[in-house]
Amino acid sequence: MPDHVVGFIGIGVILLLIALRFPVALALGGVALGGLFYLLGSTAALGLLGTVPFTFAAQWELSAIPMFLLMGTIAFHSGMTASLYDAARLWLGFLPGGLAVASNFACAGFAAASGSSLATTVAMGRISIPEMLKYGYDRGLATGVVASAGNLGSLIPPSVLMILYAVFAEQSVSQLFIAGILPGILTALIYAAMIVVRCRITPSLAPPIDYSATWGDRVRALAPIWPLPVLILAVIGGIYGGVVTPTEAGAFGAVLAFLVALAQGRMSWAILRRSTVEALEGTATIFFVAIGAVLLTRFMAISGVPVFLVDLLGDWAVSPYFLILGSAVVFLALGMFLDPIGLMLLTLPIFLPLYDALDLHPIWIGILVIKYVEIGLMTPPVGLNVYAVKSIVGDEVPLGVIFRGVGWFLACEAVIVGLLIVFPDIVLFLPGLMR
Amino acid sequence: MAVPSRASAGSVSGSLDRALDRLARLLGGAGMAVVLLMAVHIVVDAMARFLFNAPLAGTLEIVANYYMVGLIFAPLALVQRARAHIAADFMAGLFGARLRQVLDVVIAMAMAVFAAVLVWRTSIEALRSWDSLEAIQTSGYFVYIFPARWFVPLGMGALGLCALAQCAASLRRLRAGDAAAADGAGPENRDA
Repeated sequence: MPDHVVGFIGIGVILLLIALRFPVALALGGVALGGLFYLLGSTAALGLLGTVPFTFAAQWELSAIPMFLLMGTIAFHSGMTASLYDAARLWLGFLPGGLAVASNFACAGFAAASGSSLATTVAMGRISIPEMLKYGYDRGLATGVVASAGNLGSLIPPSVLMILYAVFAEQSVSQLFIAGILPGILTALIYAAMIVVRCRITPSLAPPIDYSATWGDRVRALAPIWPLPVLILAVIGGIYGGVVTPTEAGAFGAVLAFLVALAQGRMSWAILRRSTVEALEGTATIFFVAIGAVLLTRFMAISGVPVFLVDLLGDWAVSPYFLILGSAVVFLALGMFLDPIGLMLLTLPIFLPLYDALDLHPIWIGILVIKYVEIGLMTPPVGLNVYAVKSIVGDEVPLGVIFRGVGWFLACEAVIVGLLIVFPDIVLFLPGLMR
Repeated sequence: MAVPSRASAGSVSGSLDRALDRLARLLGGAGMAVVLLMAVHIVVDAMARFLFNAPLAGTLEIVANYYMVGLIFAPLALVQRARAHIAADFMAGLFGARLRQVLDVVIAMAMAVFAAVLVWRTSIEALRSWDSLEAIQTSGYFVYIFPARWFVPLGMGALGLCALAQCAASLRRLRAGDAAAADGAGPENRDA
């Protein structure tokens, strides 16, 4: 049997095991080990198994993940992010669909403190969806906006997905973080424009709210949330200026969030404990999968699957756009049932050599990959963000209604991804200014 | 975090379950201490660099080789006990109760085997590192990293033990379900 056939069989077995509810880490690691055993023999395969877990874990670049997770959980559990929606509401409530626009930007704000899409969706959804439903907002719009805008968690720095991509693609985490800023803002703006236009055309989607905010109210609403923009500016500014590494920015963010919460009387042992445990478990589960993915990368490289695919692409003399759109299809298909970390770590070992062979800009393609992964979180049958929203609303809103609501945002995503592909400068402009 | 024990108190499996629970919590607590220590250490190092132009030598090496390895592998037993691994649940609804139970046994067993192989191989690496007193040169001094190598087999070992206990528990449940079915209790009780 040719080696690359072994590789393809391995991919098939992994997908089967994942469908059977095997933990992704076990599916990736176990199959990779079996494949390496078959291709290299026991000595080399077991040798890899002995060294990979330690050498992968012991990386300075990856230490940004626990630090940013900690910063996010402290900001959330200390209540720093809770007032975000209130402030957005006072500033944006006058717009058609004002509460939905406010939810959208509150998600963007939370995303800048959190590295995870699911965390963003759950945190903002709990506050904003009941409010929108109370005012008689269309149920699809109220749920769809949070399920979609929650995705900004991975696009607006800090972002766990970006750190993992950077390490696997051997790129700078800082550059990738900065590259995500403009696409993130663009996404939030296009979402907002779509909401406003829809609600202008069909006012029944979003009945007017009793809105009488004065400038005094607005400014006062900023008081409880001021630490958040300060935190975000310090973290992103520090990275952009090259003053601190992402790990240092994350550690500063976590300590700063802790001190602010302490000064505001919102910190307790229980909150610190809960924040730390959550950050810790998040880190451990992510790294367990990532170690499986490293083994898979070795297995793929030795089986020659990527080389086989590169040759195939070469034979067809394909344009880069074919690969970019083709990989989008694969990400969307797998994203229908895989979580973002598992999806990215399963596909990167196969796709990175292909992107490399066609000489695609690694930062640009990195942002596109994050976009693809995020869109996978919104698509049926298993958009994880949609399920997160469903868990908030319970029986009040059927799953189908949420997916229909998300449909409008998916249409926006098609436009946004199209813009990013046609105008790579949206991604590359800010990182180009660094250094 | 703790999964309530299904086994009756006082039985062998009950006390085993409590012991594993204590082990997982102990390691989890160590992990928490490491995360907080790491944040403080990094901030102190950066401050010392900005303010006094005197960074703490070896911060990068200690963070990577000790804190990172510790905080990744220490909480794995907790994660295993809570069955909180990243997994796709979308097909679970399609499986019957019995198939789900069989899969529970198979998955826990596979995890235990995977962990056992990892413990075996990473222990060999740890021993090799121990024998050679493995160290990394920093700007200021040598950082010995051979003790940190043991975090991997330790964490994976605890995970493996928890997986093994879960496998046994799932097997007992499967047997109980079969016995109930044989008594004519009907398939709907199997998932109890």
